[in-house]
Order: sequence, then C-alpha cells, then structure tokens
Amino acid sequence: MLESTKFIISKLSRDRTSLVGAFLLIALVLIAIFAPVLAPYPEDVTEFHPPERLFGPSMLHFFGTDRMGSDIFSRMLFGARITIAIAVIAVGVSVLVGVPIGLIAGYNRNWISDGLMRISDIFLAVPQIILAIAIAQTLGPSIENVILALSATYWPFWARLVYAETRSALTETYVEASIALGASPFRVMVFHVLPNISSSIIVRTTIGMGGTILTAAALGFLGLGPPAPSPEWGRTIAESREFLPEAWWYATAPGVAIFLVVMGFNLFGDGLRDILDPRTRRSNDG
Amino acid sequence: MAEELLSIENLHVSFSTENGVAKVLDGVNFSIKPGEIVGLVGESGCGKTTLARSILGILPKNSAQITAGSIIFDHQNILKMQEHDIAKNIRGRLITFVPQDPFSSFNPVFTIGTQIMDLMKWKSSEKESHRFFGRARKSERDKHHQKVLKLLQTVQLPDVEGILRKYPHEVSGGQRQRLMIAMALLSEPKLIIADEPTTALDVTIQAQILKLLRQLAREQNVAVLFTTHDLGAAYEICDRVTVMYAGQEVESATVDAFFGKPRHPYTKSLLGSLPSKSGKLEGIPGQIPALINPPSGCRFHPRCEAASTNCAEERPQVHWPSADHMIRCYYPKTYD
Amino acid sequence: MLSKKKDGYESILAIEKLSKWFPITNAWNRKVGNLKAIDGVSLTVKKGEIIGVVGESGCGKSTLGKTIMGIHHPTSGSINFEGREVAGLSPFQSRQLRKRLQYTYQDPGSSLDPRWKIGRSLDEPLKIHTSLPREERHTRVREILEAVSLPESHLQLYPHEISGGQQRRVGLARILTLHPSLVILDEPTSGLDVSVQATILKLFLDLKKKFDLTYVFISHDLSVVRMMCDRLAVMYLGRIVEFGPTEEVFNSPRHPYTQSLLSAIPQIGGKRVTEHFWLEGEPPDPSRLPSGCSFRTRCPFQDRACELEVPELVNNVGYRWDACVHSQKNLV
Repeated sequence: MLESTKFIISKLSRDRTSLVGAFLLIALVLIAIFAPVLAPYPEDVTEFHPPERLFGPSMLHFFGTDRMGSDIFSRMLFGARITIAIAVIAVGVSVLVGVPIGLIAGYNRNWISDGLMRISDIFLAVPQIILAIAIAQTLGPSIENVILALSATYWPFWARLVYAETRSALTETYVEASIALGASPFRVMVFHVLPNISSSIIVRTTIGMGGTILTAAALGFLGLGPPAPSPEWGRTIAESREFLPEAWWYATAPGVAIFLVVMGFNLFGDGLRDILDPRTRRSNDG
Repeated sequence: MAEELLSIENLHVSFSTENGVAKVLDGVNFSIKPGEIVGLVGESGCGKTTLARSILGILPKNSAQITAGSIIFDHQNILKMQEHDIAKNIRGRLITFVPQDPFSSFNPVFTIGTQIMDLMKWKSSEKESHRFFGRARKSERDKHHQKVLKLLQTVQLPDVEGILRKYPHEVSGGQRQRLMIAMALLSEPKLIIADEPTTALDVTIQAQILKLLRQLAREQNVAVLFTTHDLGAAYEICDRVTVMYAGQEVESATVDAFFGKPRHPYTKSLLGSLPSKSGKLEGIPGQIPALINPPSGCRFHPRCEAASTNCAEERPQVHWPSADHMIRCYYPKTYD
Repeated sequence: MLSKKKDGYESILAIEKLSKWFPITNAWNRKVGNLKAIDGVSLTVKKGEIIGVVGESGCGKSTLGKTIMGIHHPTSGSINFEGREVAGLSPFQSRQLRKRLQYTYQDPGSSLDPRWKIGRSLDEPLKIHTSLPREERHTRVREILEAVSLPESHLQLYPHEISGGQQRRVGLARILTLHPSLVILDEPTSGLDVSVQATILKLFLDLKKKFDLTYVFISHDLSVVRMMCDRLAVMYLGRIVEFGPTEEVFNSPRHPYTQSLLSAIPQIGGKRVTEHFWLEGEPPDPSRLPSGCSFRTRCPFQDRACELEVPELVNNVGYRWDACVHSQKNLV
C-alpha cells in the first residue's frame, strides 16, 4: 500500500492539471484550518456593522462588505469550514453505508440482493436535489439536516456502483480460486473484492465531493442550509440577490469560491482516475 | 541470389520500453523463394512475430525502430519505400496477412460479406474502374460477388451465400480462419504471412486448415511465411524451416534435414524436449533471456552444452555445411 | 466408508452420471434451452494414478474439472470423493473435504490476486483451513517453495513480476500447502514454451511422488497426455466417448472420434497427417445437439442406429470402454 501511494504521488506530480486541482484542495483545507488566523475580521462571522454595509472591494475589505456590513472575505474563509464539513461527512457517510450494501447485494443472488437494489433504484429514480430539498424542508434548516439529506440521497449511488463492480470482480479467476480454496464469503469480499474495486471508489469519491458541494450550496441558496448568520456560501449568494447588480462583489465572492473548490476536486479526481484505472497494456513483441 | 522472392539481410530492430531498449532482432538473415512455404519457429521472445511485422511494416511506430538492415521483396528494398507506396501496392496486395486471432481482425458490426466485398473493391488485382463516391458500378460489384463466392468455395466453406450474410461472431474459429485465408488470397499475392494461424485452433481443425493452406499455396504458387511455436505444425506444412532464439536466427534447412539432422545445439535441445513416446523428459536448463540486456555474442551460449569462450565474444557468422542448410554456430553437430 | 476396490486399489474419486447444464436465455431472459456442457459422465479414478481427460474446445473437460471441484454446482449426478458424497456442496460448505481435493488453473497468473504479494497468496490456504500460528505457517510455506524449486525471495514479489512458468509453480505451491490427495490439473502446460513444458511436467511427477498425489490431467495436448497419463478419457460434446489405458487407446482407438483425433496429431519424422486426414466439418452447435450419438454428423460409419439412442459407455474389451454402436460390434 505504501509503495503504491508513493507511485501515485510521483505520477500525479507529472500531470499539470491534477497538480492544479491538488493545489486548490490543499488551499481549501489550509484555509478552513487557519480561517481564524487568516481572516482580517474574524468576528464578522457573527457580528455586524450596519454603517459599513455594501461597501465595494477595497484594501480594507478585499471582497467588500455584505448587507450587514460584515467583511465578505472573512466570512468566505469561515464558510470554507462549513463546505468541507458538509462534503466530507456527507460523502463519508454515504460511502460507509452504500459500499457494504453494494458488496452484500453483489455477492448474493437472491431476494436480498434484489431487494437492496430495488430500494436503491427507488432513491435513484428521484433527482438528488429534489429529494434533498424535500428532506431538508421537512426537517428544518440546519447544517446537520443538510448532511443528512445529502447522505440519504447519495448512498444508493455507491451501492449501485459497488454492486456492479462486485459482480464483475466475482468473475475474476483469482476470486474463483480463493473460493475454491474454501475462503468464506466475508474473506472473499473484504480481502479480494474490496481492494480491487477500491481505486474505483476512491476516484469517484473525489469527484463526488465536487458534486456534493454544489448540491449543498444549492440547498443553502434555497434557505435550507445553516440559518443566518452562517457564512455558508450558498446562503450568501441567496442574500446577495436583492442587491444585484450593483453589489456585484457580494455574489461573485462566494460564486468564485464554489467554482474553485469544485474545480479542484474535479481536476484532482480526473488525474487520480487516469492513474488508478487499469490501462490496457501493450504486449511485448516476441 | 536473384531467384529469391524475399531476402532479409542483417535486420536489426529494437523496441524502447519502460525498462530500457530491447534488441528484439539482432542482425537477422532470412529468405523465401517464390512459391516456397517456409516455417519460422521459436519460443516466446525469439522475434518471429517481430520479423513478420517488419516485413509488413506494421511495427508499433512509437516504440519500434529498425536500426539496420534491408528487406528486399521482389527486387525492391521495402525499408526504403514510402509508406503510402507500401500501403497501396505491397500490403494487402502483394504481401497479405493471416493472423493468429481471426476474430479481432473482423469488424464486429459489419457482416462478413460487406467486409470482403470492401476488400475486393480496393485490393483486387484488377484495374480500378470508375468509382462513384467510392461505390463501384453494379456490373463490377456483381463480378466481385461472383469472385468472392468462388474464393469462399476454394477454402471449402459450406453455404457460401449464407456466410456472407453472417456477422463475425456467428461463425466458428475454424470458419473464420478459412475466411482469413480467403481474404489473404483475394488479391492474388506473391507472399502470405501466416502468423501462428492454427495456434488457437483445435488439433482436428488445425489439420484441416494446414491441409488447405498447403494445397492452395501449391495451386496458386504463393509463397508462405508460417510462424509458429508448434514444431509439429511446421513439420506438416513447410518446405523449409528456420529457427530463431532470442532475436537471432540460428539454423535454417529443408524440413527433413531440419527435423532429421539438426545441427545447432538449440535445435537439438528443442526437438529433444518435445514429449515423445519414449517418455523421457528433457527440458533446457535456464531461462529465455530478457532482450534488454541479452547475452553477448551467440545469445544461446549460457544454456548451451557445446559453448566455449568464443561464443560469448562474437556471434557466429552464416555458414553452409551443405547446400540448403544454414547454421550459425561455432560447434554444430556434424553428420557424415 | 464407501470405497470400491478394484484390483487392490481404492477408487479415490467416483463420478456417476454427472451432468452440468447451463440454461440458455433469450433476449427476454426466458429459458430457451440448455447448454449441456457435461452430460451423464461417469468415471473412476484410482489412487495414485494419473488419469487424462482430453478433447477439443467445447467438449466439456474444463467444466468437468470445475464441477468436480465444486466451482460449478452439478445439475444431476453424484461425485464420490474418498468415500463421501460431495456433489452440490459449495467449497465453503465442504471445506474439510475440499482440503484434500484441489484444482490448478489454466492461466496461473490470473488465479493469483494481482494486488497480493506471493507470500500472502501462499499463506491464504493455511489461514483459511488451519489455526497454525504465523511461524508454523511460514515454515510450511518455505517447505513447499523448496519442493517446487522457487527461491524464498519470490515471497516478496507480485504475480506480474514473475514468469508464466514460475506463476504455475506458485499456483501449485499454494494448493500443496494443504497436502491434498487429489489434484485436478486444468491445461497445466498451455501457453508454456516447449523447453519449459518439459521442466514443469517433471515437476508434476516429482511432486506426485513426494506428496503421494493422484492427478486428473485435463489437456488438449495429446502428446503430453500420452507421456504423462496412465489412463485416458476422450470427451466429445459433453460425453465420454472412449476410456482406457493410454497406450492401448493410442495404439488402437475404438471410437471413430478418437481415431480422427489421434490421426490429426502431427508426427515429426513420420508421415504427414495432412495428407490423409479425413475428418471434415466442424462440431455441431453445442446448444443444439443432434439426436442420438452427437458425433454422427461427421462420422463415416454412421447409420440409422446412431440417430436413435445416445450410445452408452460400455466396457467392451479388457479395461477399454467406448460409446459407439459400431465399435461395440467390432465394426470399426
């Protein structure tokens, strides 16, 4: 495992687009961690200064101020924390739920697997955002409910993916050989199938985070995310609507932030996929 | 020798790989006379497929390089010809190819008939007539159709009309190989390169295909270059056999002399390791060398019983102990 | 304990009317027929012998091996191994039994998990079947490595880093760690260079002596089978058509298919096969077998009797068995 990580890093560093993506992601993480230090006005997350409302970008306020007079730049930095939290937890939970379900469904060929897949199909039949809206609306606007809504609508994707990959992996000769040696289903699933489908999962996790962030921002925009005065990016865009187009900086800042983060995940994920997905090898001429 | 159809001299081919440069062909000499069936035998890594591909000029462009030598076909050095010239006149016309895996040579979404008719249109030996947007006149198409039917009958395919309507996956391996032979004969070539054509076939089908190939080659006076690792198949069909080891040709003789009186130590060991009635099992100790850093001189010397110091220094030159029997060895077996 | 005694030997494996049919479904997922990969196969294997199963592609020899092994569940019939009935049990269910019945793959490289080091692959069977501590497992693995002449350094390598011949040795080593009594070898020499083939065959014989093994040797390479096997079963389209001591079958084949099969093998130094080879056409579609004897569409001796019934495998002469109405009447 260690060797392959080194190999991956060395291959990645040769690919410029994934380097850009990696840079953006590292920047995101650092910003989230060091937001209190980096932000010029950390208190503006909760405080407001009405006399300073809607100032344009300046040396004092890089991205201007919002309708409450708070520094948008600082609020954006703190918003990164929310974004990461939502993305990581939502994707993480859906993977932890969906992958085992997919494995079990893939291994069995009976009513269990059919049932699990039909349940996944029901969830997948509804567009994720609509379902997420419905759930968040019912439960009320908060960061926990956003995460819940996203996880609940995302796990079937993983279940389906892992189901297909498991089915395909089970036809591999080495899996058959292991079973012929007497390996239990658990052993086969965990030690043979899972490692061989893990690269597929990892790649999609990375790219999936980008999509999740967009959906989370959409929920925030609709007012279903963390309530005021949260500096969540989607919510900020919603707030800015009534002041456009004069206060252009108000929507641009969070918009650009979302764009960069999603780009970062996509570029990095693409680069990762190019390395991890099996390539056709050219045979040696003899 | 002016009477040779194909004459390869001192051919050097190298492949660049991740781990270095592999010297896949090391100064190989090879020749075929018109109408002759020559077998090119050897184990994995010997270079027979590379040699076959060099003649056709279909080595992978990114990694393969012909660093020296000449390939003279019909009095022309192919290596000095322009690519479009080769593609138009030589490949698929004067030199055709029967591959090991006939399935992947067919386009799975077109019927067999479509594909053969296409070939007929572009590669037949008749002069090109007027083409209307790439489509020949109906009279010409009918003529082609008849010619194709006759050709398919020559390769003993049953139900020739029906087969033209089928898709590649609907016919069996043996039938596909017959189709490949038919397509190889279509342009009335002078040389057919058959690269392990029966390796993937069952032994009874192999016997049928070998019989067919030999018969047709004789009837139409076409030379055949037959590469294989199956010595029995080479015995069945070839007039002459050349054996290669790790990119070097080591012996070449008429088929009876090759199998009856082998001179090179590798040939002897190879024939000796074939399963025989006597029940003795003799492998060759050691391993086939990697071609990135091959043994110097004669590449077989590390595994050769007869080897001595000069074998590692310089590769033996071509030597003719008798007419029609070529050997490259300092210590060959002698027969009186 | 059920064991048939014949000539003082035990039958370590006895298969009775074993069938494996694969359903054929059309585009609407409806069953339209059966692919009878093996159909009513009966066979006994004596302890300590090497029994060959030969035939061309589609004859069912590989399916036979896998069904005996439990990789496929039989459609009907019985498999009696060391006196116990094992048909229909999955390898996990019959773990205790399966330790003694093992199988090697045609493509040894693909039978090893590409992400596992070889050492780990060799350790796996011991981990599954025994509760030996790590040190003991390591000792056993080292013993086996020596038996198959592989260096200990290979334990740290990945399958793609070693040659085909070495992969085959690893596959063998892996099953030998369990000390099986019967090993099914599925095309053990396919893809090997001639010079390597001889070495591997020698290895099989050495291991047989050292570990007291019995082999079922599945192969399409008749010259290898002739050298290695004591007795031989010839299969055609899912059925055994001839069965008997190897040399006798080779010298005087009784079934017309066996005759054509043997006559197709090139004999270096002898007459050219292709000059006299008479078998025409190709095997029929296995999903739509002809009635009666499935070889009758290509057989020069066929007549009306052949269409009516599937010929039974009958013991005719001495230890020879064949499934042809004409050879049984000594007309072939």
